[in-house]
Amino acid sequence: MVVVFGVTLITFVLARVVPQNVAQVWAGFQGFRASEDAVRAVEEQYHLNEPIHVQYGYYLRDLVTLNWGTSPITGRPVADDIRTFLPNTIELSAAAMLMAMVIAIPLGIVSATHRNGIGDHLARLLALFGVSAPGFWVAMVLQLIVYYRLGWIEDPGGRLSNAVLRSNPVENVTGFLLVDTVMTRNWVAFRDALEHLVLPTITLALPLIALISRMVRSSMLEVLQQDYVRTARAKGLTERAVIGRHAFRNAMIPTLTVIALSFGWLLTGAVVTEVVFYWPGIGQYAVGAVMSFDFPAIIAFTAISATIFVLINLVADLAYAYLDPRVRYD
Amino acid sequence: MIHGGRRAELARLVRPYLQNPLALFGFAILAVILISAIFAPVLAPYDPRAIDLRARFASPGGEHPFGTDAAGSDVLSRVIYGSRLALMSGVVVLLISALGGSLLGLFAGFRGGWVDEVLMRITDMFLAFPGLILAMAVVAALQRRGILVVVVAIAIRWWAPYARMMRAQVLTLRELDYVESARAAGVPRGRILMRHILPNAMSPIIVQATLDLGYIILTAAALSFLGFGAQPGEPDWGRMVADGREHLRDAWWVVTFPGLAILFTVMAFNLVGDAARDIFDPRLHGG
Repeated sequence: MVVVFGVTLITFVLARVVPQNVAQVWAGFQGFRASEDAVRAVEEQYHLNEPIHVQYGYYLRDLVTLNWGTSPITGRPVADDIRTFLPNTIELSAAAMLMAMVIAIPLGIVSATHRNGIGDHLARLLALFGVSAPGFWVAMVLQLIVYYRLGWIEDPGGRLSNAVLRSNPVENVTGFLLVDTVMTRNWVAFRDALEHLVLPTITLALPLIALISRMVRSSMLEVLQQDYVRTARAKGLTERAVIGRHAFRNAMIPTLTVIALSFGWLLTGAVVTEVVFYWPGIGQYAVGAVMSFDFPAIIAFTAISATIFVLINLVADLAYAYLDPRVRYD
Repeated sequence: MIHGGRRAELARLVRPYLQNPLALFGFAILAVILISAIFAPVLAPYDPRAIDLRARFASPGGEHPFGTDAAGSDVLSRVIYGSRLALMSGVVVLLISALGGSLLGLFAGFRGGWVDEVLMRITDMFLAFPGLILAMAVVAALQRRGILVVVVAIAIRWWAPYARMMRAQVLTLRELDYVESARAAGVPRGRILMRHILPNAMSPIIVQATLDLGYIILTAAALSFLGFGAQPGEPDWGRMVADGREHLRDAWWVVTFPGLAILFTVMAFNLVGDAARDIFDPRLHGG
């Protein structure tokens, strides 16, 4: 709770204390100066003439009531913009997390059970590549190979091809494209959306695969040395049962923490991935906002990211306590 | 005798690295990067900023081993010069955050009480932000672009883990017998801190710093790629990848080579850092 409060404090300092000519900045300048009237309107709207601690009070109230201001660039309320772009980021992140877990967990288990075998070495190499390669570059190399050289996909960016947008327009129900296309049985658009999802998902999943597979491996190795695993083996259980039932479940507990921490990578990775693939998510929106000094949008994005990050870590802590009875938060 | 002792000490320190082929590979890459950063003017065949519109998009090979970019500049020369910006920005961010963070953690851990409580809460607040995202907000708040802004923007979040780590170290170490006995012998607090606690708290910090240097370079490259760091034309790896983006179809080399440079640099710091961790913390061996 203290931390969420701190997040608002830091964003407030960045939004209102650090910049010079705050009202000018919030009215959107850069290139052309905001008119006197616009500046005065902004001062009015954000209470910029009040003392700083009073401003902070208003700021907190606005944050909680989703009154995040109007973007001087798009002219729309920031909350509306975020509502449009956030589902795209959530879909991409969920796909990446799913892909990462499906690949990383078996990979980690195989690495641990066949320690120093070929599989283990290959997994180590993949992990090293995953954490070392810049996401924006991986994204471009994938485009170069899969799109330009092999021609396996028809369009390297965005969520839908223009042709599909014209022939099979998607009805907006939930804002989540994949869900909407299924609900309206628009299979042509669904297929097209899936195709567009593949490369960004791989890009985003790569560092997560690295982090999660290494964690699964090392916690599996530790668990496999425990007495209860030896007992399970000694009483004649099959290797499958020993690993699946006894070792894996316990190894998953520390892995959970890493999965929660990797949401930080996910949020960061989404920014560059979305830019390269012209993915209309909040990451790309935020980059555009920083480029054009669209302050209300930047601050909303920063605060949302940090809050999501904090909440996920909280959930992971609670899940940890639930799964591991030795941990208790009093 | 003393000389021989030192040599044995050095051998003891170096041997584990020599026995680890991956760490050796990491050191080899680092050596290449360091040499190209120091001797860039000698090694680079061309001026990295030279514009030659007649030589635009030359394929790799012949006079231009890595080809040329949209301005006709030699990609190899730009990659070589890029190592300077990458290493420099990485080292500066690391120095600021590791020194600042460690000092803060040292102070918090040693003072304890409400000072510790307050400082650690502040640290938590900064840890709540994913690095790149806070950096973007800082770039916006400063209303400037450039490498210096990137350095500040990254350092503003990066000190926090060091503060936590150093504090944890101090809390563990100050309960140990040898510190206890130094205190009982009447050694002043400052001296205990500097002579007895600090040297022993350093090893995890150094390991972390080695690993971090790679990630800092990665984050700086991402910020440059997004257009917040080095400006167009500057020989910066992230910027070069961004500049090559429009011409990906026709000139793959403009994007590929600087990207590989980032990949290998980060990988090298990871390899060396992993090896250092195994050596400093034998419990994790092979883990």
